[in-house]
Amino acid sequence: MKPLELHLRAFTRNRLFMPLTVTVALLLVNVLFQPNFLAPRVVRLNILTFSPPILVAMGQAIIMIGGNLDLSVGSGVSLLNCWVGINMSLQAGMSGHNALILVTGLLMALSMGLIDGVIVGLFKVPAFIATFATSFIWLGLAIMIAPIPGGAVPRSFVHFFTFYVGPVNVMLLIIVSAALAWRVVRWFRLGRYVYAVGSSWEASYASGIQVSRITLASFALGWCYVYLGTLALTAQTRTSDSAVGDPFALNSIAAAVIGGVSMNGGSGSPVGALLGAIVLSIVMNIVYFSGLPTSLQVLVRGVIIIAALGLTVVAKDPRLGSERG
Amino acid sequence: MENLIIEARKVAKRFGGVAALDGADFQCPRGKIVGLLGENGSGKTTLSRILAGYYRQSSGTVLYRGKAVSFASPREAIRSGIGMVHQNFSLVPDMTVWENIYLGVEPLRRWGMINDRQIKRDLQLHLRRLCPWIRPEQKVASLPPAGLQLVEIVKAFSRSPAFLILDEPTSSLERQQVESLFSLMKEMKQSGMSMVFISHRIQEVEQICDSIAVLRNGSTAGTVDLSGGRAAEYGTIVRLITGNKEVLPGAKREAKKDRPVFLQAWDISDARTLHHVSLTIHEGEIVGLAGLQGQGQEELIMSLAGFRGLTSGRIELRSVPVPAWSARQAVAAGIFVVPGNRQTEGLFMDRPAFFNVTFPQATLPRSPIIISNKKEQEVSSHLVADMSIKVSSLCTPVTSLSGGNAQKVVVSKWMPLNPKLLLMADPAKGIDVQSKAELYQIIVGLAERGTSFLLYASDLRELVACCDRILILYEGSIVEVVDNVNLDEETLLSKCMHRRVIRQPEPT
Repeated sequence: MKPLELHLRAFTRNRLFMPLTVTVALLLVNVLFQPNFLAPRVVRLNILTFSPPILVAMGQAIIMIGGNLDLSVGSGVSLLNCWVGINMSLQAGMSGHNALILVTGLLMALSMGLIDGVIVGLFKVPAFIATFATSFIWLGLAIMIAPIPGGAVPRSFVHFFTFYVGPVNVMLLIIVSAALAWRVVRWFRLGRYVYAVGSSWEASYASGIQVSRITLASFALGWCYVYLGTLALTAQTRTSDSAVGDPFALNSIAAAVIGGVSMNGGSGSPVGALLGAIVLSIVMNIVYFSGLPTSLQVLVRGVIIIAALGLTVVAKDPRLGSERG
Repeated sequence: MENLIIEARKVAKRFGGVAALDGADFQCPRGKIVGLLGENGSGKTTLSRILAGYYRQSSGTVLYRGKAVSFASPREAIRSGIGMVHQNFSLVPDMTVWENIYLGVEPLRRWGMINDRQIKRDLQLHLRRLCPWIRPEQKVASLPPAGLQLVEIVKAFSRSPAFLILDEPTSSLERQQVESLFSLMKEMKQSGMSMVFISHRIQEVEQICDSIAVLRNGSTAGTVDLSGGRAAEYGTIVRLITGNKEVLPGAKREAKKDRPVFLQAWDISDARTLHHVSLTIHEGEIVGLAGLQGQGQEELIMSLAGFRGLTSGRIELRSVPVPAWSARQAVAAGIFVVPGNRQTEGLFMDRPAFFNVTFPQATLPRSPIIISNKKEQEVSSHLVADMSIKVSSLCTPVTSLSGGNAQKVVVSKWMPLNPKLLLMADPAKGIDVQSKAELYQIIVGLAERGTSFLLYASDLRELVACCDRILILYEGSIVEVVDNVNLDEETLLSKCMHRRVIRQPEPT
């Protein structure tokens, strides 16, 4: 067999093959419906709007690889958005005060991850219920901080996220480094153990892995990505709103699944979730520019997502072919 | 004895109200291999799990290297040099072979990164010994059962523990693989490793072990030193395992001839476990299913109940072939399952007894849409009386019943449907002697009235006590059919080990 053919075969067996194919196909359809899709201005805008769901989905993916899921990331995004948007001072630019707000925001994100992680990993409450409950706590806090939408972030904060280093957008850099960061984590025991615990809790325990600690760590790590996503979102909306995070919880889970992350844990990668999030965002674009009556758009969106799920999830089911070959 | 690596003194373990281990003593000398034998449920796995840090004993002491220990987790046991080959494996299915073998003990390089290169280098050495055909890059989920078992063994040995428990490592291995495992064990013994070897195959234990400890009903039945002549001990060991227990009272009955055939299976196989099984069950006959653990007993029962798809063969009811056998047809023909796990498969544990007892009737196609509680209770109070189930009230949830009474509820719920054939998977598992006897009396009574039974019991005594014929299953096939005439438990046990008689190694 020719080497090229071998490479091709290995590539089609890759877990990311279907998500990538679906993403590229949808991108092409998008170009078809929206001729100026590749115009620099539109590209810049799309990067800015796609980034928050991408980063949150990557965080969700890490938590799901560890064998759980987190329904509270949505209201977590709201809470962090309110904290940053209300407390940052407009005049001060990137002053010590604003830096302090950003750092406390990160600490808040970490604590939310740890609280979810403790309830799920230590007290063994099913993640679905536990994080459903904590989502109300985050939302309640967000409403306390910002009862009505408002506040604003300094221009320098917004500029940072829309800045170009040569031809490369900072936002893009952040996403790429976020993906690379997971690659690096996998060089260490933590990364490997997250997969092990997610795949089989019992086997990991039997092998002497401290299972609850790994669960805690996977939540904390995931929430770092959620925080990055929130900052990107805040740079885009430039204000704070306790309802802004609502769609993120379920969207991030759907994105991860489309990207090949298993609902049972132990397999997939944040890069897959990245692709899944792009798919979900592009579907919105396509439906919007398709010229369909507004009343039909939501329905069609659902149908396309089901089709995308079908392609990616069915493709990795061993009973139906490829994956394990 | 001074030189013990591990010693258990009067160790007991209770789960809820059930004693899995009841004052067991166990000793393993340094650098020796001790065989641990016992029937299913005699406490072998519980004892080994206590030694490996899974469970804490309810009472008693464990001495490791002369010091009393009580491990809080397997991690602590592993850290002090105790390893275990798990019966149900400690492998992560989504990971590769090499990732699994080093899971938890990865060698590190700078900044705490995992040294994958070293892992792959060392691994070749370990794998070559037992299973050179396994590729390190392979996902564990894609391995056959024997491959899983070998990887589990390699994983345990590669950590070079001081004390290693091997919980039934040979049950899914072929003869050749068992031999290479034994040569590895002997070599490790030379280098000072102490081991506990758990197996159902007495011959294997005789071949590799220095001494044997036998557990029965959660406590130590005896020990046998094998350093002298070994083959002579076979009978002693079997007697220690089975014990000189009384025959179940009142269960034995007269055999009847010329009963009409109820169900016949011809050459049935399923995708994995069963191979070309043919059997005949007559009306009012109690047919036993014997065999070592996991030879396809549960699978056969579930297949006849229509819960598992068959890949070949056919089933005839009263000599009429039934195409596409399914659970629906089985129930229509009056064939019901009394499942092995009553907590999860046989009962709604939180619901009262009367709900459980009348539930099957409520699911019938022609049942009334509204079911009156009063009527349900009336029907069930008759049943409860018939089956002598002891309940404080019909409304108490089943969780509060003892195992024996709960099992009677499982059996009694099929009575109003007038069952023709009951498929029972170890119905007397974990219930006390009294209820066991009552349960078997009920079974025999029903058989007198024409109900047939296919009965799988892990305790062979139960089969000898009440079956008309006994089918011996071995690796998914019926290898022998035994008429229950002048049969005793020891003979039956030897028959179950069918084909497992290992040629003794040539004297050197």
